[in-house]
Amino acid sequence: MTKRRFDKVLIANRGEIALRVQRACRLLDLKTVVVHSEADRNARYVGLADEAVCIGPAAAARSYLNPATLLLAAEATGAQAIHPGYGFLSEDASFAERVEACGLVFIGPTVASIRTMGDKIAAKRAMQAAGVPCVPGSEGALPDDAAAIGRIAATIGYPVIIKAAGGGGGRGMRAVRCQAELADALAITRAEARRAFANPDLYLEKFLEHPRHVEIQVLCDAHGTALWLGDRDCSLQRRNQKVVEEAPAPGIDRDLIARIGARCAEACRHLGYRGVGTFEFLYEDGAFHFIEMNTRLQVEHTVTEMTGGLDIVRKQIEVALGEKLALTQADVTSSGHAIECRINAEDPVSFAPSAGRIRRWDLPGGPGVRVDSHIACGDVVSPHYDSLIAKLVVHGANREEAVKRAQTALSEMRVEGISTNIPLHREILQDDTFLAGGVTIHHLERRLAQRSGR
Amino acid sequence: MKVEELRQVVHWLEDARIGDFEIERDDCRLRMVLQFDGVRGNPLSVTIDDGEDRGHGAIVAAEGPGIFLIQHPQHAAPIVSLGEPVHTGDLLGLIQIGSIYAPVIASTDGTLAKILAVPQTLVGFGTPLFEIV
Repeated sequence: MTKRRFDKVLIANRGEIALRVQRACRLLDLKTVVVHSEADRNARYVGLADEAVCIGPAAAARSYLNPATLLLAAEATGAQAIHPGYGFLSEDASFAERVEACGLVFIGPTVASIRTMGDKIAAKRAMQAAGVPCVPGSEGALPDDAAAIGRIAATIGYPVIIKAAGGGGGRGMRAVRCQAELADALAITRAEARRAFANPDLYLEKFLEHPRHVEIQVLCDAHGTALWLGDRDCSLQRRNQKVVEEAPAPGIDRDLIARIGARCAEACRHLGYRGVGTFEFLYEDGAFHFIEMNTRLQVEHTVTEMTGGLDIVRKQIEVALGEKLALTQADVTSSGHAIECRINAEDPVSFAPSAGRIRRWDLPGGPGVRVDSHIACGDVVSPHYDSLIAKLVVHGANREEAVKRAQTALSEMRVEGISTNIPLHREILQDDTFLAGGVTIHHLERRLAQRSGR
Repeated sequence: MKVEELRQVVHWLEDARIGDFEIERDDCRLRMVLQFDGVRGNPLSVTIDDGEDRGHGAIVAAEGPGIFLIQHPQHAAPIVSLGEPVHTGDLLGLIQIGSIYAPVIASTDGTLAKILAVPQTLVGFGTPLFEIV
């Protein structure tokens, strides 16, 4: 057997994704090193790893977000590759650069790809060059001259949205309804961009009033093969955080999605992209508009796994090992419908995070039901991190069956000791508008506002 | 050793706030002391309450991941022996991270009463290493 590029992987993350990555490593006979903070010392997945090492106190800035400590842990344990998971340092180009400078493999795209996609202006330019449809907007960064910006906005047509080049995930953006609002909005967004992203560049786009969030999953190797694996509808969001995701996106012409998917794969070939990634689009009035690319694994990769039958994390690691994808686009299929509910430790009404000890943890099961979770009964949910405690993923022969499975699974699931958003998911899965399919990104917030009588 | 490599090491140490380290290669040996806000080395001291009888001494814990050593790799004798008097700032042991040796420093005056971790094994942030009474 030829020597592999690495046989020990350090998982630089926590929670369900640390367990998910560990499972994929097991399939590939790779040894795992799990790093953890003091708060996660007793977590189930920490005990399952080949080696576990504490890298710092509970505060993420001194543990999961500390590149030096992660690299020292890799050196101390002899890990030759680092899987960043999602969040934390997964889209930090300088971290990826330091990993590679240490002679380690970063399980993700090249540093150049992360950097390009992290700059929203550069990303948009790259997509336009590759023929991916974008939201109409300014050419590159906005000038300083307010009158010139006013002319650009008038050409695009109000309403417009100002976005920070360094932003993303709903941060660093502001909608502007008319010219009178423009100057103030520019000043505020520019100040925010300088402070939060250390990049004062802004750009303007047409503001879409009632879009859906539809995204395309890609998988690429380092030998020129780029595939799109499927589409997902992630429109059900609250404060730009996805709550429910499904695949495929209901009610959209499959030929149109196939054309967009092919464009995304073509863009990956153009960019020399490798690994997994997601092209996020706003979909409105039958047209797709690129918004950003996530250069990492996503929380909701699971729904594409359920409909496509591929282990996406395994494929991601195989590609990092330097292997050639043994698939062609014709091998990529989609069967049935999948829905993911993000189960968060939070109050279902106020959405305040709910920390504490889990006293009861009854999980659903049966055909087409998958639960990805790092939690065991008796675990303490820490207030230091993201509140995601489980992903309930269901699959059915069609959307109707998937919905029924989700409803049943949610009725079986019982968590005590902390509050969760399971009641909210039960409501969503009974909501006629959601059940009809194709809600916009504003739907959930509107429903919540109605519920609280606002 | 190249300047770039030195710079990289200094970055790591600054980020991890390691104040004192030694590095060895086949052809060179280098020791550097970094100053942080006027505090040298900043030893970590914690109290552990897990029901185990550790006496009433001060616990010196690891500041980060690495292999715990109680003797310098080129010396046969331990850096400090049990029962020996120690003073604040004394070197008690080492944490080896590849070719880097980070010092473990006494946080208080007293006598070295216990070694709490198994030498030559991987330790992490906060692992109790020594007890000083």
